Amino acid sequence: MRRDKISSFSLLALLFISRLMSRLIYIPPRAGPGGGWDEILLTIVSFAANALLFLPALFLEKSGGGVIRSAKSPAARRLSASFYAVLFVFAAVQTIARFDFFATLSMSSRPLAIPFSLLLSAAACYAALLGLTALSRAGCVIGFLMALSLTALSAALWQKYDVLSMEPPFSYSAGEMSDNLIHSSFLMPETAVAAVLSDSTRGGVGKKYFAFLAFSAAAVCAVAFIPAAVFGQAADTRLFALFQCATVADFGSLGRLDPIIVSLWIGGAFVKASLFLASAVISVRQANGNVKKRPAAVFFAAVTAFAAWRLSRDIGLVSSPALNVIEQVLTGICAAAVPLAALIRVQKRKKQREAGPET
Amino acid sequence: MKDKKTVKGFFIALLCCLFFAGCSGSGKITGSELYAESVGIDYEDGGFVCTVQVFDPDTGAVTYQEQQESMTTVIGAAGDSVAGALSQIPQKLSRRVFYSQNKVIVLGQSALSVPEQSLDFFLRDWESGLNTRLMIADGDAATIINADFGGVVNPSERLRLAAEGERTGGSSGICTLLDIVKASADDTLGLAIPVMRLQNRGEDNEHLECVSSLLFAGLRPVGELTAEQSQTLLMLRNRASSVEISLGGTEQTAVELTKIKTVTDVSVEYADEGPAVICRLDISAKGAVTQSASHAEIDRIGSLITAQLEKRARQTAESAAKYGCDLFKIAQRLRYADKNYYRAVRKNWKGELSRVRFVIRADCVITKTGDKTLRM
Repeated sequence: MRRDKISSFSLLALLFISRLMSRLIYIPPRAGPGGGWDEILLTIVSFAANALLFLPALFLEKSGGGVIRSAKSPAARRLSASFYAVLFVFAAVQTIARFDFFATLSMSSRPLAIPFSLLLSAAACYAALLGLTALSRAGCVIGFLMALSLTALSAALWQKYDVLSMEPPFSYSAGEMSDNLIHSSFLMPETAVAAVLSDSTRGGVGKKYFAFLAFSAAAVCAVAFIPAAVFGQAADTRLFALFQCATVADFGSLGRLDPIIVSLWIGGAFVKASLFLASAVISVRQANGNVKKRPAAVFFAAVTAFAAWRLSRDIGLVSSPALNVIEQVLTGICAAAVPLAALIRVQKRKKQREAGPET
Repeated sequence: MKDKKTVKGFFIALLCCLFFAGCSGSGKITGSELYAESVGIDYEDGGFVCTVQVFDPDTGAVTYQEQQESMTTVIGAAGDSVAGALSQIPQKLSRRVFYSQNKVIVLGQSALSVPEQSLDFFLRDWESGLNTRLMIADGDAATIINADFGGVVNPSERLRLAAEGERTGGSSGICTLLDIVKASADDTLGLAIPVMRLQNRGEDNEHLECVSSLLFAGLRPVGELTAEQSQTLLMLRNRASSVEISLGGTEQTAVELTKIKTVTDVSVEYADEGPAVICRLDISAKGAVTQSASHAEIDRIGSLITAQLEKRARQTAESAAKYGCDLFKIAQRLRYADKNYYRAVRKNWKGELSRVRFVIRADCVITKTGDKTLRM
């Protein structure tokens, strides 16, 4: 039993990689205002909003209930588990499709013999089968290396920063800001992952989730700041701007940092996709203990591989606003609505138990 | 034990991921590839002529002299576009050419009529870096790429140093592809690209000299700065570590300025006759006089240099502003200083720039005369 549990620090590392990768390979639905100080402000706002969203799951964990296990009936458990599974598979599909697009653009000038999405899905399926413990060990190493590479990159670009070329704060109207907030990563599926995996974490997720938010906010702000300070307004017109920054960074005799960045991003995308597939399997098994791990992981991986392969063939689909909205609605349900409903039910049951002996 | 095996398997799988896209479908880098070190682009009869200096790591040269002589080759090719011309080169050499290590791009005067098409390939290609320096030839780019620098230094290194103004008080400015990318997205940005001319030093050794700087507003050429103004620009941008400046007139004394620092500040003054943008340039420098001088002379030289610095800075700044080239990022500073005023004048920025008032203050302190270091 202990074998399936990971430390809260390991979970923090996995969630950190997931959030960082979301920002690194994010493809905006359309060109428009995005960069500069406003994006940094929006990042801070969105992380603060996610801290609030996690409160129901935190209180639920303190009262000893899991988000899926606390459901009223087996049917309700299955329904909430299916919401989580769909969200996690959806997040894995988006990760692999976006990374496939990035890999095709930046790593090889020729079409690959085997689509990258299929290879990454197969690797993620294998990692999901190995379990959370193995994944968390890789997550700690890759998370540390990714944080280190981000620090090294920001240091290597030191002489190229031109803060003046960034849009000053509050350059965009309130409408543009809110529009951008909605279309960027306002809701994070990591909140739902933390809620589901609190049962698989030694000592629970608890306040460590806020540490994850703080670390991730700092890293995501750095990812927003570096391209805006290096490219100025041109950052808004460039896909994967941080990767392009790595091509202009010099670090002593090391002329370009992009090969190092790419190799770490492959690891990051792999850990992220594996985390979501593993979470999908765990959520289904929390609703029904009879579900076998292997068939579930293979089924989810097959769905992910097909959807990611289909999506990655069309950049319009990968970045479509409709998919963003679907993901955000699902995240809203899984990160806030389901834990809130479970919390209300747990509190109600507790009150009934307390009132029971008196009556 | 089982855990260890699992982790090992996991890491092997992870390592395999590194090779999935990077190498699949591509040949691995061997000694049979060539590396472009500098590229010259000319525009002739509606097509492009590219002259590429390539570095061959596979010649077997041992000594430095042998390496200089045998490792560098210059090859030219023509095509409808830059990409088309460059694609001819591997066919001519029967070897693939990588552009990731390219240091300098030289644009011929003819290519200036189509600057976007000339640079398009290098701005889009993921392999070539945006750190590549850019310079303009005073004539054909091919002449500069083919120049004989005496075999003392690597030709492309020579070009790179020339593009950087030799790092120590040279007279050219630095412009990279990154600057072009930034200017293409923000047309208020001004660029100064050095114009280089080959000068014969005798003994068949040629030498590159910056004769002027071509000014661009966005990606449109708008005017030109003289060689002296180009040097002053480097100084004002805090990029010159040392500048030699003569006192002018009948004075023969030369002063070497070191530790030059310029602070730029932009504000809007709302006067009765209307608002005006003020750009303040505060230049501070430390100088060394090559020959011994008395205290009175030092004071006199200091004030002469200060006046000279102020004059040169004013001429340079006002010339650039007159052409509508914002070399001091006045628009960007104005966005922070007075956002509303910037929004009001944004559409007619070129006209507004010509009305900017420059307030220039220089301060030069002589810290060394002859071999004697003065105590401050």
